Amino acid sequence: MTVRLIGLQILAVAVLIGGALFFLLRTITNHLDADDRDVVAQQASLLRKWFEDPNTKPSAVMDQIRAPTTDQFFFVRILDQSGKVLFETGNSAAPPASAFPESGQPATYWHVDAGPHFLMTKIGATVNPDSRRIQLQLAFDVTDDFTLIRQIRQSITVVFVLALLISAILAYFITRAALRPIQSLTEAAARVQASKLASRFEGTHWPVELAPLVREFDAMLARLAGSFRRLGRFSTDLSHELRTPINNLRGEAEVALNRPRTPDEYRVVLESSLEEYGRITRLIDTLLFIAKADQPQTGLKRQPLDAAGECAAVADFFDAAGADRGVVISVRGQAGIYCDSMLFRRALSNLVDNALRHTPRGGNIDLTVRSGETGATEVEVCDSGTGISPDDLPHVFERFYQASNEERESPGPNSGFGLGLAIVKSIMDLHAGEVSVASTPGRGTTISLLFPRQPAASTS
Amino acid sequence: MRVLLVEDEPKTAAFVRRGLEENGFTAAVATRGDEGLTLARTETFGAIILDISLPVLDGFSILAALRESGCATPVICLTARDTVVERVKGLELGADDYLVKPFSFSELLARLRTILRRGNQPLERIIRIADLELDLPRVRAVRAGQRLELTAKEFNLLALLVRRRGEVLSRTVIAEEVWDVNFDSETNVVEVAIRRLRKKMDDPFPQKLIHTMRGVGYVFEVRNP
Repeated sequence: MTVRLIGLQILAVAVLIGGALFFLLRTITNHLDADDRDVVAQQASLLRKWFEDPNTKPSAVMDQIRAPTTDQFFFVRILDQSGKVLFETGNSAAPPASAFPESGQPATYWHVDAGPHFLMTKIGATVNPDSRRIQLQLAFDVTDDFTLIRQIRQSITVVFVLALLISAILAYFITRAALRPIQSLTEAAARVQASKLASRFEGTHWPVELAPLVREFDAMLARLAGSFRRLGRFSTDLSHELRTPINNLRGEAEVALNRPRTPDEYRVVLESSLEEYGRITRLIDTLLFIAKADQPQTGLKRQPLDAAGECAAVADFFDAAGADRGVVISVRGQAGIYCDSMLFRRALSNLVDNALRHTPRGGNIDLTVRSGETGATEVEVCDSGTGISPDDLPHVFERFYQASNEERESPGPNSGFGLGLAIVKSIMDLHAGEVSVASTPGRGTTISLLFPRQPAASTS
Repeated sequence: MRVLLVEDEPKTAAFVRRGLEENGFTAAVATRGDEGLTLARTETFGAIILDISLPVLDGFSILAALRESGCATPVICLTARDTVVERVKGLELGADDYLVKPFSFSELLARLRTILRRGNQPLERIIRIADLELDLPRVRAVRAGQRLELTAKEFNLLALLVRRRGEVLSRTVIAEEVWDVNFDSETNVVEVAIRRLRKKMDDPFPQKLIHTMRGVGYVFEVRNP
């Protein structure tokens, strides 16, 4: 990790500085080359002008060239049409006649090992007075330029290597400093265990860049701790719920077998067992239902429905039970709803069942439906019952939660498991809806379900 | 009526077979999938009760093979895995009903009878049993010459029990048939409804017609004291 980061930083520096230096070198080289070509071209045309000047004898021109005042960097050779050398300035290292480019071609460079560098050009001229054609070969000694470029190249290489070295050292320290908090964070994360979810990262001084990460880590830990706590309690509650019926089954069977009994006595034991089996079966069904509901989109068959009609069906189901308890169940309002009918009825019947358990004789339960803003549908179950204490209110949708003031019902064949509202929550989650509860102890409870509107694209 | 039971769990096979035989069916049992398929192809059955997880050949394959060969015998699937996918698959392959383990035997029996009754249900308009007279088209119940004041749901409940007299109906079946509520609810609504019905049609009379099968459900029948 560290090595890779340092390597990447060095690579970045190498590309940047290397590129800059290379560009610099290219600019200088091109510049010198252009200058030299200019000089050669000018010198060549000057020479031709001299030779073609009718007032000047060629021999005078040659004398002029040979004079020590003439630029010593130039080598001049004059050939006649047949290629015979008529004249040349004395320079043993000069390029041979064959090395020159054809006249009219761009100037070319020439050099032998460790010898001077020349820029050569060739140009034709007509000499007076006899209009003889000659060839002018001109070579310009550019060794100084080449030396300069070589020196610059060497300096650039040194600068480049130094820059790399410095950047490597800097990269090492910067990376180490930047990664140190991550290292500590890694170590801290490695220490997190299911049993130590209470520990938090915040508090230590983290660099600004890492603060949001640390905050999110802590939030994640808090969520995990909550989940673990709920899961733990869920297992405990589940074991308890299973223990009760199994204890009854076992005890009754053992006692029944203690001594011979009449068939009627055995019948009673078996019938009692059946009730307990029913209880266990319902518990399993309910848990499986919630587990399935936790995986979103499992077999949700949503369709547009009449909310009041659905409520009326549930109210109808509870009609007898309501009348029996002296509680009036009524449906109000009018609204469309987009939901799975079976699940909606199940959620609503859990709510009504719950309300019935906590509403005394003479009370009432109102099922109200209305279209809220943004096209959502609100379904409210409002009872005039005993209400829920503020301490219990945040927990009523948790699995197996039984309100503290609520007496645990005797485990009859139809007593609740404390899963009714958890199922409602699961069903609302499946519908991407919301459930909320408001309650005043002694006055009643209102639970409202908010179903989102039907997505425009889906018509089925 | 001969029923084929394909089930590899010995205890389940034993109690289902015994229950079927005590309720007027004869049962053939196959404990392996291939065995079950062979039996279903070579002999004639009124219905097949098919476990899904079976050795050698699973229930879905048997069902698919049977339906492919044109066999229309009613099939009830049993499964320990209640996933929507499985349920849909079973029904798509041509199963007539689907029961999830643990199931109640009375439920299996009720569903079996419903399937066998399908299509050839006698159209009863007026049913007279003991001193009870039920006029289905006019929604009127009379007992011992006395008109019973029943609500619509109470009448439907009574009609269901009477039409399927002698059959133990579980709370689930009753809730499904009378209220169209097809989920197992934790409520005691069915008990309450039965109690209120009894108050009107059984309690005032010496002979009781609705009987509770504790832990199972309710049955309507004339029992001689």
